[in-house]
Amino acid sequence: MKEKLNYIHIVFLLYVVQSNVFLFSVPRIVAENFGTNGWIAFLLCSAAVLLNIFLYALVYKLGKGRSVFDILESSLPKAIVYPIYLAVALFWIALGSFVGKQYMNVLQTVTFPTTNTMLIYLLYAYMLYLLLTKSIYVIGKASILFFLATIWMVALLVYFLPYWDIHNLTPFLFQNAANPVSLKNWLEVYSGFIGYELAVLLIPYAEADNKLFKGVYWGHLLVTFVYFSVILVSYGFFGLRYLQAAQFPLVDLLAFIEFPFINRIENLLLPFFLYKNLMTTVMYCWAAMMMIKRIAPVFKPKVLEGGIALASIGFASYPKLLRDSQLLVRQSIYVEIMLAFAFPLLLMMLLYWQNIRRRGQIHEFEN
Amino acid sequence: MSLKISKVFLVLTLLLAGCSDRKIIEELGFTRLTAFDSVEDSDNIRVTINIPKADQKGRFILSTVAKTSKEAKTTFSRQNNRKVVSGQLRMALFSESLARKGIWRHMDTLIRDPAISKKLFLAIVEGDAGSLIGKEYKPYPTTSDYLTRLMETDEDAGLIPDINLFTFTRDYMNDGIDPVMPILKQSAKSVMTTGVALFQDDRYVGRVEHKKSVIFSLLQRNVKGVDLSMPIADGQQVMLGNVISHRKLKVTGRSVEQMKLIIHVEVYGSIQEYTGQLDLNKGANQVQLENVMSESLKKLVTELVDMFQKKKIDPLGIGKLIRNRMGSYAEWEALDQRKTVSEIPVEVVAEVRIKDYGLLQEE
Repeated sequence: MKEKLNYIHIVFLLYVVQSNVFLFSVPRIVAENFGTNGWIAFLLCSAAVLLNIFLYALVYKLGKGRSVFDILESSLPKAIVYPIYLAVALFWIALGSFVGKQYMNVLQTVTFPTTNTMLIYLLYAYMLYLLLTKSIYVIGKASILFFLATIWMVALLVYFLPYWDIHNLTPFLFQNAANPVSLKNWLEVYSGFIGYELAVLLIPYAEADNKLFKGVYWGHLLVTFVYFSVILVSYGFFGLRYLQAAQFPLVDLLAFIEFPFINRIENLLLPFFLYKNLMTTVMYCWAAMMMIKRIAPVFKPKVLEGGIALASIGFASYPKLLRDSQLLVRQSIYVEIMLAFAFPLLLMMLLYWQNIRRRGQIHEFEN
Repeated sequence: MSLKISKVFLVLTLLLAGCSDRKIIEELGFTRLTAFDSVEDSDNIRVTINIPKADQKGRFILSTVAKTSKEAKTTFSRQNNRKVVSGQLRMALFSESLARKGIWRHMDTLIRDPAISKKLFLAIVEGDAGSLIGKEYKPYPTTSDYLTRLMETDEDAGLIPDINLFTFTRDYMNDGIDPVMPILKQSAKSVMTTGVALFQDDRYVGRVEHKKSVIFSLLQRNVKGVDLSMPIADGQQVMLGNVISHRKLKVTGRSVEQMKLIIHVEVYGSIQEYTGQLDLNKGANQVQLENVMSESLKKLVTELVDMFQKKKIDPLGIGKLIRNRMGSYAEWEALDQRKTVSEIPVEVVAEVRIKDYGLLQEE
C-alpha cells in the first residue's frame, strides 16, 4: 500500500511549486503593468486563480476522484490523446527547465558573474533526477523542508518598516503604468501563480477524504500572502518609478539588509530560493512523467527519470541570456495559462457527456 | 551503489564549487573610497580611488581622467598588479563643481553593479574630492574607516541627512521629492561635515549651512539623541541635549489654489546649556522659555523652507503630499510641479518641550 498525500502536504507542495524565480521580479512586474497601487490587480489575479482552482475542484467532485487520464481516455480514442500527452509532456519539461534556467541567470547576474550557468544547472538537474526517482509522497515531504528553508525570510520584511512610506503608495489606481493596460498586463501578473493546475494530477495520490482541494486553496492563499507582502513592502520602500526600474526588487531588498556583523547577505540568501525553484521544475517534470508513463508504461525504473533530467538539461541550455530566458518563460507561461483554463473545461464537458451516456445506457437497460 | 555515487557527486560538488568565480584576496584590490572630480572645459571626469593595503598601514591612490567611471576602472586595473574590485566600496564622493553639472550619469554605474552595496555613503566635497580621499589623516588608521565613522556619527547626531545610494536613487527617480547629500570639507588635519547639499533632480543647486543642518534633520526625519543649539533673544544661547523629535508634514485643501502645507515639529529635550537670565527652577519660567524657543525654532524652520521654495527644490517631499491630494493623476502630471511646490503657502507649528534642565538647580 502506497502512502497518500495528506492535504497539509498539498498546502506546502502547492506553495513551493507556485512560488519560484518570479518572486524576485514580481513587484516590478506589477508596477510596470499596473502602475500605482498595482497590488490590487495582483489580488484580483489571485482571485481569478481561485476561480480556476474551483473549476478543478468541480472536476474532482464530478469525476468522483477518478484520475484525469481515466476521464480523458474513456471518451477520446487513444490515437488522439496520446500525441496530446506527448506534446504536453514535452512542453511541461521545457517550461520547468526554462523556469530553472531563469533562476540560474538571476544567480549569475547577482552572485556568480562568470560561472557557466549550465554548470549549476547540471547539479540542479541531478537533484531533479533524485526527486523524480522518489514517489510523489516523498516529493510532498521534501516540499515541507523547502518551505521551511525559505518561509522565515518573510520576517525579514520587518526590517524595511522604518523606510516604508505610505505616501509612496499614492491614492491613485493603476496610473502611470509603463505599458498601457491590456489583457497582456493581466497575463504577466497572473503568470506568477502558475503551477496550481498540476494539482489535478494529484487526485489519485491524495488521501480519499475530499480534502485535496482544501490543500490547494490554502497553498495558493499562502503564496498570495507571501507575494503580496513583498509587493506591498516594495511599493512603499522603492516608490513607483524606482520600482519600475529595478530589475529584481527582491534582490535589492535583500541587499539592503545589513547587520553590524555581516552585510551583503543577499549572496547568502539567494541560494535558499533554489529549492523552491527546483520544486517548480520537479513538479512540471513529474507531471510530464505521469503523461509519458500513461503512453508507455514499459520503462525500467529510473530510465524515464534520467531521460527527463537529460531533456531538461537540453531545454535549459537553449536560453543563454537573461532576456532570452525571460522571454521564453513568459511565452511558455502564456500557453500554460491557456491550458490551465481550457483543461478543466474540457474535462467537465467530457464528464457531462459521459454522465449523459451512462444515463442513456441505464435507460436502455431499463427498457 | 547509486547512493555511493550520489555521495561522491555531492562531495565533489562542494569541493569543486570553489573552482569557479574565485576571488583570491591576495590578488584583489578592494576599492574602499572613490572620488569623482570635474575636468575643466571637458565632459571627462577625474576618478580617484583609495585601496587600503591589507596590513592597514598604507594605501594605494590611483587617479585617472576618463569618460566614465568603468573606463577609469580598466585603467586602474592596468596600473595595478591586483584586480580592482568594488565589493568593499564604502563611500563615493563628488566634487561641488561636478555636482553642479549633474551626477546621475556617474551614479548609474554604482547602481547597476550588483557588487556595490545599496548602503554606500554618498557626499559632496567642497574643493577637490580626489585629494580628500588621497590624504592620510593621522592618527586614524585608514582614511576609509575615518570617513565612514565620521558619516555614521554625524548622521546619528543629526548633523547630516540620513542618506545612502539607495535613498538618493529613490528620491532622484521618484516624483515629488528631490535628493540631498552631506557636504564634506578637507582641512589640514581632518575632514568635517559642513552642511547639506540640496539637489534639483541630479544637479547640486544649494546648501544648508552646518549651523542649520540639525534643523534640516528635524524636518527630514524623526531624530533621537541629537543636540540642538539655538539662539534666543539678545545673543543668548540655549542648547537642548538628548533631543527626541517628531515631524509631520501635511497638505490640506483639495484644489491647488486652496492647498496649504502645515509643518509640525515637536522637540523634546533637556537643557544642557543656558546663558539667559530666567530662573529655570520655576515651572512658569520653563514654560516661558519653551515659548521663546518654540518661536525661535519656528523662525529657523520658516527660513529654511522659504529658501527651498525660492530655489524651487523639494528636499522634504512636499510634492508627494501635493500629488496625493490631487483629484486625479492626470491633473498632477499636467501640473507645473516645481512651481506648485515653490508657491504653496506654508504654516509652521513648532513646539519645544523641556524634559528637564540638567543637574544644576540654581545659578
